[in-house]
Amino acid sequence: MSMDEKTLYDKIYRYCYYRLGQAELAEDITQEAFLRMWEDRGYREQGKVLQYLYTTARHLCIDEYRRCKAKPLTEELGERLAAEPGLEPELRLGLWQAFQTLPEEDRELLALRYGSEVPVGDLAKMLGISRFALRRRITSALTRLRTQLS
Amino acid sequence: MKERRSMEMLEQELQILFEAPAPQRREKFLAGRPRSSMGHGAFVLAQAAYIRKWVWGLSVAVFGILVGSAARWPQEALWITAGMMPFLALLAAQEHMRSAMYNMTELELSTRFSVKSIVLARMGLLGSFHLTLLLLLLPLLVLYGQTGILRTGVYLLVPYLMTTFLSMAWVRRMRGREGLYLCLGIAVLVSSLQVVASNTVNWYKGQMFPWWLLILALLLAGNVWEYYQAACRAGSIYENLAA
Repeated sequence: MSMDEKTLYDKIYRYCYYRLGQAELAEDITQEAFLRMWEDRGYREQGKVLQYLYTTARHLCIDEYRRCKAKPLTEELGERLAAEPGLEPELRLGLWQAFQTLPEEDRELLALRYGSEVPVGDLAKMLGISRFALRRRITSALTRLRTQLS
Repeated sequence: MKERRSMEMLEQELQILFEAPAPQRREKFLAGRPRSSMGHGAFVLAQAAYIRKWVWGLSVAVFGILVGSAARWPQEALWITAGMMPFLALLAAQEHMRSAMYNMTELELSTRFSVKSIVLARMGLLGSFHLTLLLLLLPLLVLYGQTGILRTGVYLLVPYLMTTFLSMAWVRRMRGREGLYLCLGIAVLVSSLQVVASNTVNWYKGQMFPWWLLILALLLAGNVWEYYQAACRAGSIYENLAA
């Protein structure tokens, strides 16, 4: 896994943003995850930086969510979705709502793959499954999402 | 086809859905990160101090013997040198298995630098040192012998890489001090094979050279494979400990 720190930062930040829906808070959590990694040098040398950062960020997001009940879909997010080119804003919000109905495991997987844009090889390593199994899981999750939409 | 297209569209939409506003404090935060006081170069050089002095000393002594024998028996210099290569390789191989020999692998996995990077740095250092010695010796062998620089280089590298490959392959399957004795046996075997066979079958003939090249390529691939296996093994030990 040879990603530079800026790329790692962006991936973790986007993941935190998906979890918390607040840019400022997502950046705080991202930085906290990095600080913890830098302090824990032993783990960093094992070549599993992304996995370490992701796990730390995930736990921090859960703590934060429990602490102040951060809302995943805020007004900020809704406005931004409406402003993006492509689908109609209503359809996109519909997609978001359909996404929210998916099981937690699927949401996590899709957020990492399409939100944080973690490459398939790295994601398979992170989850401890083969690339083939990962592709199958992603396809199943997308099919479920499409079913929800229709 | 239609289904695939709709899946692609869904993927694109998901990417847009997960778009986040650009981070505002990234550059400042990463610029202020605590830098390691030791760079890659300094780390590799620091490892030189942990390679035992007698390993360096023996390497230089073998080089001295080879220079002396090349001056005294110029006609036999090539096969004598090739016969000594396994012992140089043995010095490198025993550094590779040092942590396994003293049952320190698990402990070394918990240190700041992983055992993989330490072994890689040490093997790299010793390998480069041996290569430098060989490069110094090469003009002398080419001057006295009838083979060119490329052929001489290949004739020397094959026994060296054969010893490192066989040693690493066996060390992976054995534990403790037994591995060292086995590596010593491998070095003696490869060296003897080199010396005995070069006096019975003349495999330094020009017609045999393509075979040497093939063996060299196989040994290079084998060494890379064995190193990868050793690194994976270190990783799996770590994961078993962490589980």
